[in-house]
Amino acid sequence: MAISKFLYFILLIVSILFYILYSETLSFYLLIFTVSLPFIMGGCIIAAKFLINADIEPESDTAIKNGRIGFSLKIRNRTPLPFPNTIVKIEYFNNLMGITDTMTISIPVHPLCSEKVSFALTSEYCGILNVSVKSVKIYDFIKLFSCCVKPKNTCEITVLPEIDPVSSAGSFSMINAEESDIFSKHKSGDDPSEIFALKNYVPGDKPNRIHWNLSLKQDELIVRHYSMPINSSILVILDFCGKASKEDIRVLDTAVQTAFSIAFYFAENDIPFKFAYYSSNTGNDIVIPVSDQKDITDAMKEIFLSGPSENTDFALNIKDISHEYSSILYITTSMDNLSDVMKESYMGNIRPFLIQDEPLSFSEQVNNEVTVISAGKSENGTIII
Amino acid sequence: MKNKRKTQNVYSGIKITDSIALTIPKRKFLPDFVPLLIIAFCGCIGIVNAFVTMFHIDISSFILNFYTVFFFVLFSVIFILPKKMTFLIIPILFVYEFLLYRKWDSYINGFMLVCNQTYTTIFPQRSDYFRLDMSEINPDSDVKIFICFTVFILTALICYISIVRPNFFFGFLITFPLIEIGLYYGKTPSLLPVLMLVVYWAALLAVHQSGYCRNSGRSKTGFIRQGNTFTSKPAIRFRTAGQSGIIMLLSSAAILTAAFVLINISGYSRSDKLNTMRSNVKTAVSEFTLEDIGGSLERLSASFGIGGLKTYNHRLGNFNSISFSGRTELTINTSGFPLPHDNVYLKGYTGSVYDGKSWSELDENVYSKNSRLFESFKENQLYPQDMLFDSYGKDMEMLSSVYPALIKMTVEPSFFNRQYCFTPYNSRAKDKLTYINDIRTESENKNKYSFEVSPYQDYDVLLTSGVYSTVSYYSNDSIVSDNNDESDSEYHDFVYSNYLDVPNNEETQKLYNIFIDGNNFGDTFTQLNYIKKVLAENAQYTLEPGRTPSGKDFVSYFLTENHKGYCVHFATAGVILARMSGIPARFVEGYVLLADDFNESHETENGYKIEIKDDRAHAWAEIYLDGYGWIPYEFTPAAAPALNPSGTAETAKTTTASLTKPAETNSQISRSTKTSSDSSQTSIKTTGGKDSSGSGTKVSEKTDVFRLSPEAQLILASVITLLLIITVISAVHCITLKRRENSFKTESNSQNALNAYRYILKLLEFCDVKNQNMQYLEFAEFAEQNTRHIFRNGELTAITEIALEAGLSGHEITPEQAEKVIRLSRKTARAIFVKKNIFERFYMKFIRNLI
Repeated sequence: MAISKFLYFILLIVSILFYILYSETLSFYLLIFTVSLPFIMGGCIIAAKFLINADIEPESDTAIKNGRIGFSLKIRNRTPLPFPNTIVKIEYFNNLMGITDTMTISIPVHPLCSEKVSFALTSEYCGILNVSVKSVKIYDFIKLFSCCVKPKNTCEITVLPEIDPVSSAGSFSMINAEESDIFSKHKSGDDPSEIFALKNYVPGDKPNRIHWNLSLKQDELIVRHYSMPINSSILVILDFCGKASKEDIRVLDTAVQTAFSIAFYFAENDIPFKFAYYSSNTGNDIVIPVSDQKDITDAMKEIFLSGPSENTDFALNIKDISHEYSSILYITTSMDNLSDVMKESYMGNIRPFLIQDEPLSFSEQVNNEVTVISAGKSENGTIII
Repeated sequence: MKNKRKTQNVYSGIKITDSIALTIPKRKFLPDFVPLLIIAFCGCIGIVNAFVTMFHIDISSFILNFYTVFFFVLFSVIFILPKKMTFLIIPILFVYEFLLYRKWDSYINGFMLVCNQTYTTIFPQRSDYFRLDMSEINPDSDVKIFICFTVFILTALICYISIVRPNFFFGFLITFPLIEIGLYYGKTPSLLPVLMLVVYWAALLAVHQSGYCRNSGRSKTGFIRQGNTFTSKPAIRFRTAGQSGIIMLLSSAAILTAAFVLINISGYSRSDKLNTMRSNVKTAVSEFTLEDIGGSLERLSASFGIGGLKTYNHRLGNFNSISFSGRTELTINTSGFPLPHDNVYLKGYTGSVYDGKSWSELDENVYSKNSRLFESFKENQLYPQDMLFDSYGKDMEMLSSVYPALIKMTVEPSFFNRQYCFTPYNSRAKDKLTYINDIRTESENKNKYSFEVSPYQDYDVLLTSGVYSTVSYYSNDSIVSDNNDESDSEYHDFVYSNYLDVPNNEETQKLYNIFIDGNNFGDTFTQLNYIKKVLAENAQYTLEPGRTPSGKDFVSYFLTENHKGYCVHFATAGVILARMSGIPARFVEGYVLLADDFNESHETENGYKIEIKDDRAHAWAEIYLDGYGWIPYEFTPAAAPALNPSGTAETAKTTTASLTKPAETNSQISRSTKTSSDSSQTSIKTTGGKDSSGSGTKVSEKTDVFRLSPEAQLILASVITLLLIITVISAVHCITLKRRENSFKTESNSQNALNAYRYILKLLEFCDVKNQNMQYLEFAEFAEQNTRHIFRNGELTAITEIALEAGLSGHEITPEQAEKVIRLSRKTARAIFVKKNIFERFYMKFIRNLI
């Protein structure tokens, strides 16, 4: 645009010189024309400023890492003027990583219509993907002037990690706890306080469990299946540490994926557990119970919003709560934090997982105590808990 | 994590997939190509009619427009059709060439007839450019044939540039020269066609800026990706290009129509001030010279009303030669009687200090030291500038039997002469004057000032009288008093202290030894005559003396080596020799009004009106006589044009010693920087007329001939050359980039990858990372280590592996692999580019064409 302005300036000077040096009226016409040009272009741009707007919408609020995340950019032009040179800048960043990137799309905007630009992103790392239209820069016909339309909406898409295969060494299982308030959603039991399901009678079902009222209504025998109270004293701790950086992001991502995979394994196997992490938003340690996948997704979103922190006390606080749980799966990215935790003698119930950016094999037992997982290579291996 | 960081060259983990889709509404009304057709039509009709009406080509407008419309339709249809159908142009061109071959003679005749018409329109006084035997040709038919064949080509070009590959610059280049040749010479085409042309240019510019191009590669739709920047392909912009073009066309037409109505309603006419400015600009441009570039620029800017005329180049010996343009410098009006008995010298600039290469005024400190003296002048209202009139003129006025005794004279200088007040000697100012020390005066009204001038302008009588009878300058009585009047002694001392100075160097000493030592006659008149004779014997008058070599004294070079010069040389040498002889003298430049000018041809109702041309510019010496002040003295040999009546310019064509012409003055005389090849003739340049008479016939203002001086031509040529160089560099750059991009889009993925890999190698070579007999992978590792800011760990190695697979394996690599290599090549180029400084970037981009 600077070149256009410079060329226009040259044209104006030439027109003035022509007007001075050429004695016929033609020179006056040209001068009037040249002087009027900026006013016309300015008028077009002012109209564009107020009558063009843009919005961005995602196809979905959640996505899987490395999966396609679709967006639609809608530009509405309420003027009768076309703008062949419109540049849309879209800004996106993963809040886990914190690095902003920009995408520029140059499109023509047609008059009196809405047009849609569809594009897609993929995120190599999990987190909250923020996508917004930074600016819509509209040029006039001869690129003399421009204006910026700045839409205000921002899209937030939760990019969930992939699920690594997890295998258990057999130490984690559902505990049938008679006095538990948590009931299995997948398996029936003998606790009459909660009905698991109502099913048709199958030979072998206990006669005292026939629901006579319902059976009369249904003209067939309906049997009550009682719930099975379950309990577990498993704590999964996700300990982020350090600033997000190009090197650390893979480690953080792998840590989240590991935690997510473990949590998913527990959820699939109907093993309730609790999830603990440090929230840099609130400055507190957060412990939330998880019983199904929705809880895991919600927890992940909270973790992404919180992001990594530099708080090192979180690791030390574990010892205060370690006696409450039979098993603690401690996932950390910091060797220092891990060292602090492992110094304590009560570490018998803690299973540490260290995520490192070393070119190791996927999962390696170190001193038979620490499982080291190599960042970025989790898709190839199985997590053994 | 709330903080967002922007980091260049840091991978954010988010990738953009290549699939961007643009959904636009369906076309509602007219086909998309209609606006472009309208624009092209305006261009075709506009240029053809503008040219024909400008030069009054003898052809029926119906036939002209028929040809234009017919060819326009023909080419429009061809260019609108799908690209495959463009082959239809081949048979059309074949037919065209065949017909041209058949009608070749008529075509050439038509060409010559049109050329003649154009030429005679521009230069009405001249005869036809081509001599044609009219009995052997059929003018009407031949002109039609020529126009027909030319319009064919023109229409084809305009349609192509407007419809297929809109390009404003080419469109302008094709159409503008056809009318510029007329505009340059002040010819005007018919208004409507030229305004159509302007509208066409505006619309074409808008279409060009839209980025539309009909041919945009294999795939018309989609986006071109460069890193994270997606640009819609030119073909997508088709509709908006046409729409913006047509809106621009309509807006332009509306403005011009409104202007037309406004001008006609208001009865607009050009102001006289503007016409005057135009005239001044023309003069300044025609006099532009590199030898006096400061003064030339100052005059040019002053002619536009920017700044004033302050500087004055009094440097001596800077010009090879001088010539005259016949321009009026001063207009003198006199009323009634008497008439001057002798030539009247109109003094402008006075030079007091000579330093060997220029004249300048006395330093202000000198005047400050004598402030008491000059204050007394002011108190008594008796200035050295008025000494001559007060002592001599008034006497003669009283003694004269002619009544009235003084000539009433009004001086109107031209624009470029307004920084000085050209004062006649032996005169009394009628307007209020400001006295500048003891050298000159300034009038309040620089455009016009008046004097009462004594008709007695011959001062030899003062010199030959021997006794410089004086009126006591401080007395009111017109009595003869002794020279030793103490009242005059103070100014006498001042003059003798400051106006006898010569440079104290070997060359001046040499001059003294040769010419003055032993030849001091004591008597002023005799001494001056002697000096005049010395100058006549030792130098020849010419307008082409050549430059004084730098480092050499002007007078010494003139008198002892070159022996050639014009009035400036003679006047300067005379002043220096006079000073050496103990006679206070100064250098003066101005104009000469001849006694012979007061003839019937200049007579008006009230008196005389005389236009003093630039050939009357002159330089002379001023000699101080006690009691009389400063009187003019002529050292230049006789018969200079300034001292010759008008119309005797034939004598100006020879450069013999007898010919004296006024040479340079304050740069109003046009100067040529090169010696003419026919140097036997002194060139008197006029502004384009056929004759070159001494009075300076100039081409009538109506034809508006606007010639550039050689220096201006040189500057123009330099600018054009620079533009050409820039154009060539830009063209090479664009072509190279285009080829590179095309090499990434071949049918073979392997080939694309290899081309991209080679590009990376070139970029690395630019960064002095060269493969010196290393294996490919080894080199990749080496390059990664040396260019950590470009490649991540293993990145180049991975690409090299792909390239090896592409080049050596028997199978084709995948498109994703090829795309990976191409993407890295672009990323590498960008990464290198951002690290360079501005000169390296220019070199990388435009010389090496690497990005």
